[in-house]
Amino acid sequence: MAEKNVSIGVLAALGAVVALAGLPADMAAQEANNRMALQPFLGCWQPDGEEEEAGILCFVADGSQFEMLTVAEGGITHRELFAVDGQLRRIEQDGCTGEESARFSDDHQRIYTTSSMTCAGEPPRSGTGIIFMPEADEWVDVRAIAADDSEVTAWAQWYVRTGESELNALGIESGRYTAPLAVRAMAGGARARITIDDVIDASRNVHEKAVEAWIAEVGQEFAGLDVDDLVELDGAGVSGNLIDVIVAVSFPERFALSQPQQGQVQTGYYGARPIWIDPYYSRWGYPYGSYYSGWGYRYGPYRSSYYYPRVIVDVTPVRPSGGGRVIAGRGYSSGGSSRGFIGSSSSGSSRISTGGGSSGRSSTGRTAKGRGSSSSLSSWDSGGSSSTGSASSRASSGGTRGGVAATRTGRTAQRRGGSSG
Amino acid sequence: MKRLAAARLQITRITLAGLALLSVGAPTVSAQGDGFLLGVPRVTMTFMAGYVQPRAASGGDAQSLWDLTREELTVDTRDLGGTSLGGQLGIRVSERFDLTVAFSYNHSETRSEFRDWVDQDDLPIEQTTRFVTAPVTVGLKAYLLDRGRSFGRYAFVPRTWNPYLGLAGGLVYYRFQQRGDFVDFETLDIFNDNFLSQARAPTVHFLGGIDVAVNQRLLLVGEGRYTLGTAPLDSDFVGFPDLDLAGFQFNLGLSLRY
Repeated sequence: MAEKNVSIGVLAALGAVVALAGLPADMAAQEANNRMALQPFLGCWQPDGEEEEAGILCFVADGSQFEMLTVAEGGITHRELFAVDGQLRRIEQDGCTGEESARFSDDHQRIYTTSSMTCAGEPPRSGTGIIFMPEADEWVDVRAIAADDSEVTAWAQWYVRTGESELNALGIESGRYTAPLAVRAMAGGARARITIDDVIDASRNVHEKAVEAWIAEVGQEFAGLDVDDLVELDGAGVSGNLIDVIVAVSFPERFALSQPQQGQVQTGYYGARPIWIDPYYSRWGYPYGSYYSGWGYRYGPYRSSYYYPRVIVDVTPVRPSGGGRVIAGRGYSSGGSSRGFIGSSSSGSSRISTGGGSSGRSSTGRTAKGRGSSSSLSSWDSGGSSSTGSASSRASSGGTRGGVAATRTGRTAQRRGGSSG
Repeated sequence: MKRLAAARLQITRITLAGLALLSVGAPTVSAQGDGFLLGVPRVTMTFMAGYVQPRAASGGDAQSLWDLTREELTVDTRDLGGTSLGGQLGIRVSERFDLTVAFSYNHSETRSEFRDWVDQDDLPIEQTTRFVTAPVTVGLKAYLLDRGRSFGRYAFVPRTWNPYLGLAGGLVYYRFQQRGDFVDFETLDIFNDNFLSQARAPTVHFLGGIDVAVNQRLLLVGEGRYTLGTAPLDSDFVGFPDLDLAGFQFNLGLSLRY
């Protein structure tokens, strides 16, 4: 039975710090660091590209512990401990049993996860993954899972913070904005960039496929990537494939990261538990992919289920002099570079690396507007393109490139028949 | 409709030009009696022109480049139809079979605008899609009827008409180009660009047609071809499945047999 009248008091977390006073100094420091590193996760989140009515995930502090709640239809439908202490914990749910653990990286910028799961009549599966928050209002859960001796498969899901007004509409009080200024600043502040050392550390702690997917999903350029970095990566045993991904995200004008389209890859899965669960697992008893359709995130008939798209990283060289791209599932792009995949299955998000150049593309000076309606990006999303990405992940297409290929017209598009917008 | 009419006019002009060219050559061919040939023809040279209609297949669950073009631009599959020019050399290998070597150049050019977007002055955002395929194939053509009747060792009376079926395979070069103004969906900026992809790929042609004798040397040929093929896209086009190059051609032409 769902609990009603949800009230999520994130400030309770601060009270738990007091409880650390009785612990040995090292443990207390570690606990304090972990607790501080979890602060940015407090609050409620929803899978990127989905409406909050379909169910949200909330992290709350309860005394000295953090809890993870699944909230749907105004009630808590699932509640469990969110422990990031490296301890293996037994999980047992709907006929499946296994273990999982989570721990912070030494710099507390990433959460490394492990999981193993056995469901009746199915081979056991195990995997490792990364939870990473590149921005204050979004984070990604990536994991690589292998069943028996099968090929390791990477999966990813982005979460975006559910807005205060949306929470209020759902009858939830987050209390997020009542936190002390220092905590709010920390939770909302700029996040650390991924470094070469981070990649090496991650590749030593989780499967390489998860690291590839992590780098590709986040899409952060490694500014100033040089031969020393490459030698360091190679010396640390980082695979050529992973180095390819690092190079690709660092030189978006020369490489595009894309995924094979649906039909060429396995589909995703739906699961009830939102994070670091075995992606093949489905609480509802349906095999993964049962309700998959198209590239994007899509809910099945039950609420509070979460779909994890499979991630296959494909690095493709692109025309060096080119800026514009035509991108499957998205349309035309003048070549601005933004994060992550082209045509990503990440919840239909627009985390897109257009491989766009930055050396000569110019605009016509025109801007488009929709025919028959007021201009908006969302109206584009519903206008024939399969992209339904969040505005937070949209990128600027700034920069220009040379040559004859692309020229900015100075015009801006609007929907047909619409007013300027 | 204007495009279609223009294409037909162009085909007619080309056909008439070819006819004139072959008519000049026909009388010079030697070894011909009154109503019969002095020997069985061994080689047939054909010049054809016609209409080509790309299939422009959907990618199914995956969005193909054709899908995107139809969805975002005022382009329908029929608009992608264009003209075809080609030649074929047929070498007789038996009473019913010819070995063929064929080449054609198929071209379409479709002007369009964005379906759902205009600029701030309500002006259309225009571009042109050009699609060229140029297959070179080797195949076998099977005549459904005997090609004529021999009298003695030398005299040969060709059949007036003869239908045929054929199968050919080879390579096709394609060039897909979209040039003009486009909307960057992230910024709604309208930018001018030239998206281009070209490559070669294997192709298979299924064909059927009919030869109708104008005289002992000259034949009128009507032929339909269904072509199959897919090819990868260049890096201007990202994340799409291979481009569908399949399509249907209908050609009319003239053959000269020796």
